[in-house]
Parts: sequence; C-alpha cells; structure tokens
Amino acid sequence: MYQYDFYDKELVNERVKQFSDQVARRKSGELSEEEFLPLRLQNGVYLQKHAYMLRVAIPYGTLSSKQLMTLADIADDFDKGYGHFTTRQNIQFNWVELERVPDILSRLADVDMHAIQTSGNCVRNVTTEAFAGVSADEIIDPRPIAELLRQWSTINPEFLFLPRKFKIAVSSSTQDRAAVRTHDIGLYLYKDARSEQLKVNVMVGGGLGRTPIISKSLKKGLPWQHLLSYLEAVLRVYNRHGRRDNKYKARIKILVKTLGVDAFAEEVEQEWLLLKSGPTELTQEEYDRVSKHFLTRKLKTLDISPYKQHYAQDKDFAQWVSTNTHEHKHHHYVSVVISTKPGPHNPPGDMSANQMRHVAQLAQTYGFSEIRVTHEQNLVLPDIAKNKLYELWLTLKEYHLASPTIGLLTDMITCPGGDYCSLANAKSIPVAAAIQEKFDDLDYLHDIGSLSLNISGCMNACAHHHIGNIGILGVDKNGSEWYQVTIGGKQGKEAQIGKVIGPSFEADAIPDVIDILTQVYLEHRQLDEAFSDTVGRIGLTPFKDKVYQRNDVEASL
Amino acid sequence: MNNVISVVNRQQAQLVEDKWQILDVFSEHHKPQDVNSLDQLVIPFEPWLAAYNSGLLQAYFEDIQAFSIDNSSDVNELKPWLNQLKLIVLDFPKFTDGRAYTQAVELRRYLGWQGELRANGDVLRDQLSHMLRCGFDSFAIREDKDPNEALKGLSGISVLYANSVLEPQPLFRRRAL
Repeated sequence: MYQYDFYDKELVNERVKQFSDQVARRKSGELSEEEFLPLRLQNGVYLQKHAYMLRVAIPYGTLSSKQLMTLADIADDFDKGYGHFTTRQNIQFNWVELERVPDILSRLADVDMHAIQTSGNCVRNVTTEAFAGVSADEIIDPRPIAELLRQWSTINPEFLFLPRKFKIAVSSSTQDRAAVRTHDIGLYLYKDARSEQLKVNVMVGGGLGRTPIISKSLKKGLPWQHLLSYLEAVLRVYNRHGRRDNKYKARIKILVKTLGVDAFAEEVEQEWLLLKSGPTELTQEEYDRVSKHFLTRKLKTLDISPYKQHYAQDKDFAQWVSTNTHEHKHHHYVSVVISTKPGPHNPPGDMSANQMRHVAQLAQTYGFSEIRVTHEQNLVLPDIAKNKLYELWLTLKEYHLASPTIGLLTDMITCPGGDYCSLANAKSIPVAAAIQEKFDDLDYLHDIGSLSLNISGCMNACAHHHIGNIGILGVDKNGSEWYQVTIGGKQGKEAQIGKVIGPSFEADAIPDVIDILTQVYLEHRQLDEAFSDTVGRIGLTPFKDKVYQRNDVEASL
Repeated sequence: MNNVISVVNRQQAQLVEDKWQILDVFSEHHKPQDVNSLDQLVIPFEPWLAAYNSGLLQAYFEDIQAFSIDNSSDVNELKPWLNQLKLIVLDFPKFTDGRAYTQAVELRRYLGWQGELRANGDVLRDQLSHMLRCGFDSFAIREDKDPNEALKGLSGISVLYANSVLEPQPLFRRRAL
C-alpha cells in the first residue's frame, strides 16, 4: 500500500487546519453559506435531508486494517455506528455534525486518509477495480498510475472550479470492473506488444445522470510518461469551453457531444503539444518510487489438498467459493469478497462498526492487513491462502459476513435514496429490502446466475441504474414515488445503456416485476447466455408482454 | 480600484493604494473622444478590439496601458499588445467560475506575460492561494470584504504535487528521494 511521506502528511494536516478555520468562520458568519458551500464540498461535506454527510476518500478502494479500524471508530464516535460504501470506492457517514468534521478529518489524517475532493466541481477520487494487483486477468497493476493521478489532481489550483465534477477511473485487466466507460475520463492501461512499454488508451465523455453516455475513444497508445500532460490538456480545454450556464449540461460529456469527439480531440492535441515535453512528463524514478509501495507479494506454494477436500465435501462452502472468491494471480490464493447485502435488514453498502472491525481483524489474521472496496459496494480480502479459506469462511459465517450472493440478483447496487438524500425523488433502500425478501431462495438465485440489479433514487444515477442488467429508477409523479424499469444495460468494456420497458410502477410492484423479468429470461436463455445478451437477441417485447399483461402489477399509464 | 492586495517578488503581500480605474470607454456613458489620458486606465478589451478592428479607433487609443478581458475570451487575442501593457485584469464574475485560472496560466506560461496580472470580481480569501499559484500577483478583493483578513488566504497549503506557474517543477521532480 502507498505510505505517506513527509509531503503527503503535511498536506493533509494543513488541510485539516484550513478547513477547521473555514468551519469556524462559517459559524461566526464571516463566511456566508454560499461562500462556504464549495469549500465544504471539496472536503467531502454534503448537507442531506436530516444531517451533514461526510464522504471519505478511499483512493482506488484500498484500505489497511488500521484504516478500516479508524473508520469503524469514526462510525461509533461521530455517526450512528455504521458507514455506507459507495460505487466509487469511498465511504460515507450519514449523521455527522459540521462542528465535529475537523475532528474526524484529523483522525483520518492520523492514518493517512482524507476527504479532499470527494465532492465539488473538481477532479474526484480516482478509482480502479477492487482486485488491482492480484487479479489473474490483470495486464498491469493500475495502482501506481492511480496514485500518481491522485497526487497530481489533489488541490491542483487551476482545476478546482471546473464547470462540473470530473471523475477518472483506471482499468488494466482483460475485464473492466471499474466502470471505466461511464467516467469523464477512463484509462485502459496495457503493455505495447512490441516495446513492452506501458501505454494508455484514453476514453472521454462517459457519464450517467440525466444524459447517460458511454465514453468514446479520445487517444490511443499514449505513452504513460505523457499521461499527466495529456490530462492537463483535457482539463484545460474543458475548463475553457465547458458550459456553465446549465448545471445539467456542464459535464465534459456534453462538450464532447456538442463539438464531436474528433474536434474535441484535435483541440486537446493542440493544447497537449504545448505541454508534452515539459516538467510534467513523468519520470521512471517517480514511477518506481510510487510502484515500490505496490510490489507483488511473494506468495508461497501451499499444500491445498485440505481445501480441495472441504470443497468436495461441503456444498455450502463450495457454493460460497464459487460466488464469493475471485481468481488470484497465484493459483494457491484467492481474493475473497464480503457482501454488504446479506438480506433485507441491511441497506446495500452499509456496514456496522463492529463488522468493519471484524473484517479488519480478519484481514490481519488471514491476509496482509489489506482490504479493498468494490464498485458494487462490497469489501474484498485480496490475498487469502486457499488452505486457510475454509477456516476464514467459518469465521465469516459467525459474523454474518458470508452471504454467498456476490454477482447474483440480490448483490444490488443501491444509492442511499430518499431516506437520506435531498436530491432523491424516491426511496431506494425499502425497494432493495423488498427485493431481498422476495428473492430469499438461494437455489433460484443461482439458477438465474450472474445478474446486476441497480437501484437509483433519482436521475442523478448514483447507483448506475442505466448500466445494470436490470435498472430501477425512482421518479416523482405528482408527489408520489414511482419506479421506472430498464433492462439490457451492462458495464465493462462493451458497456451499454439499458432500455425502458414501459410505464413506471409503484414500489410494491417492483419485486413481482423483477420476478417476471427473470422468468422470461430463464425461459428464453440459451445455454449460459447473459441476461443482457438475451435481451439483445430477443428484444424488449417478450419481457414487456409478460410484465404488463399481469393485472396485479399496477402500472401507471 | 479598491481593496487591492499586491504581491511583490512572489513573497511580500501588502494592501496597496491603487490608482487603476476600469473605464468602459465604449459604454453609453462615455465616449472615447472624452478621454484625455490613458494613464492608469483599464480598458475592457472586447469593445476596444471591435472598435480597433473597424478602423475607427483614434490613434492615441492604441496607446493602451491596461486591459481587462472577459473570462470567455481567448487571451491569445491580447498577443499583439502585450509589449505595451502594464497590467492585465482577469475577471471572476462568480468565485465558482474558474475560467480565469486557465487564462492566467496561459498568459504566464504560453504568452510569457511578465507584467502585473490582477484578479477582479468575486475575489475571496479562500481562493487567493490558488490564484497566486496560477500566476496572479494582485487581487482586487470584493468590496464588502476586509482585505486585511483576505491577506491570510494567500498562504494556502504549502504542499502542491502538481506544477504551477509559481513553481514550474512538480513535486516529483523536487521530492527528496
């Protein structure tokens, strides 16, 4: 893991002092709310329905046990004993008091963490996938590049008041698990076949929200040394020309769409030529300095025969292994995924302070004191020896952290919705709970197999409903909460936006609607065909017909 | 202009008595021919350029000392006059509109502007350190704010990873290994 040195520590400590002073000036009235707003947002503080919310950055989703322990303590001491993990690998505390935020930030700074730029119209926390550095299908470790970007974008003075927020994701595996194509800038890292050089394919203009757009290719084969100068050029063009008259048209995706990606790329290219060989050109020394924090662990060859035995004899264990572990580079190890969605009682993404402590402890005992946060709001223990896996599973079960449902329908991405968020049109947590209740039969869930279900409480799309195989969007109709359903979306390198199946439903109807959609899928599925492929092949009609012919499904026409 | 903080040698910041005045000589209230001297006058660039391009400009108006320019304009257009200017004023219509940061960087880094670069408009204490790093060296603090308080905002946070106009080398080229 990246370890802070003097400079990193100094920066976060000074930032705590600075924000502490800003909060005091807000309290005294010296700062108006309007003047204070961007300052608090750039320190992760939102004002929600009932209280302030603090979003803490978890750079590229990587935590040490010590850091997770601190997050647990913060949940107990400043919140109601839990935290909410987000799709961008961060954590949110929903019940904080503004006056106490500097104290929280100070505790975070003690363990090399911060909340800088987790909100606001600036470059946000850089994300990558949860299995970075360990996944069997990885081409190159994305973490050094992600860390270099984190540093470059932190308090970069020219780009703190952009037209709108700016999100960057990095992926470097065969499969894209970082939702790269719905980011303002998405980076695919790869090794050039001939030169073995690290290169970057730069994607631009992805984003969901009111105008969902899958990103387009901006620059192919960019040598890594030029990454910072190239992104500087992108941001400069965006800062200059991005719309500021309408917040819903201010993201870079709208600029790219208006200019056309070729014209946009040309302008960036012109800008980049001015910078390219300047001081921002990355050096091998700097790459090495950062990447030495992310060395591949020397893992031992193990006797895994006991593991094989348990796997053959214990059906429940085998089922958990099949859903909740991810293939590791070293085939005597796996990455273990811990679901934050064990059932209807637990809002997706939420974890209690005690559970966090358990996970932190288990990471110490069974792993290398490291934990990851996934885009799907789950936690990962990245390096677990197979010969310890059974023991770990038994312990996880004791703590109710072994729900064998990763990647299945109930592994829903859900935003906090109308229960917390002042932007929401509708609640999402109770809908998720009702779905959990309806789909409590593990065998049926496994029959359906891999399926993503994403629930957003409004069109800002925090839960990425557009790219869920099934997407649910809360909408407001004359003051009451309704839900629109899309199908056929998917994430990954070939990401696509789902299509609306028809008029929206009341909350009560949603579990039945999903039930029907899965039935139609099972009826038409060929072999192992994925849900989105079936939708692609047979179209919306068979799904629509079944859903809307039922009388007990109350649709609003 | 009132409430002006000036930074000398990138170090010493002080409140100064400032004699510059922004005068839109092409507005309804003024006529170019009424202006006797361009001394200490800041002329809005866009209407001036329109008049200049139309060839109607009186000769002495080419003797401009200072321009203010909109944040939506291209600062490259100032290029032909940079040698004769003493001051360029960039505008923050709202402090949340960050276009002038990029204009400042362009002027300093690409156009080699060495003269005074002033932030005007919604200029507030908590953004001053960012402006300073982007190359501004004078700040007309918003009229209702106490400029002595605003002075404190110049120091900001001492560590910056990226390079800036003030420190052209990024931290990774300066970091003690």
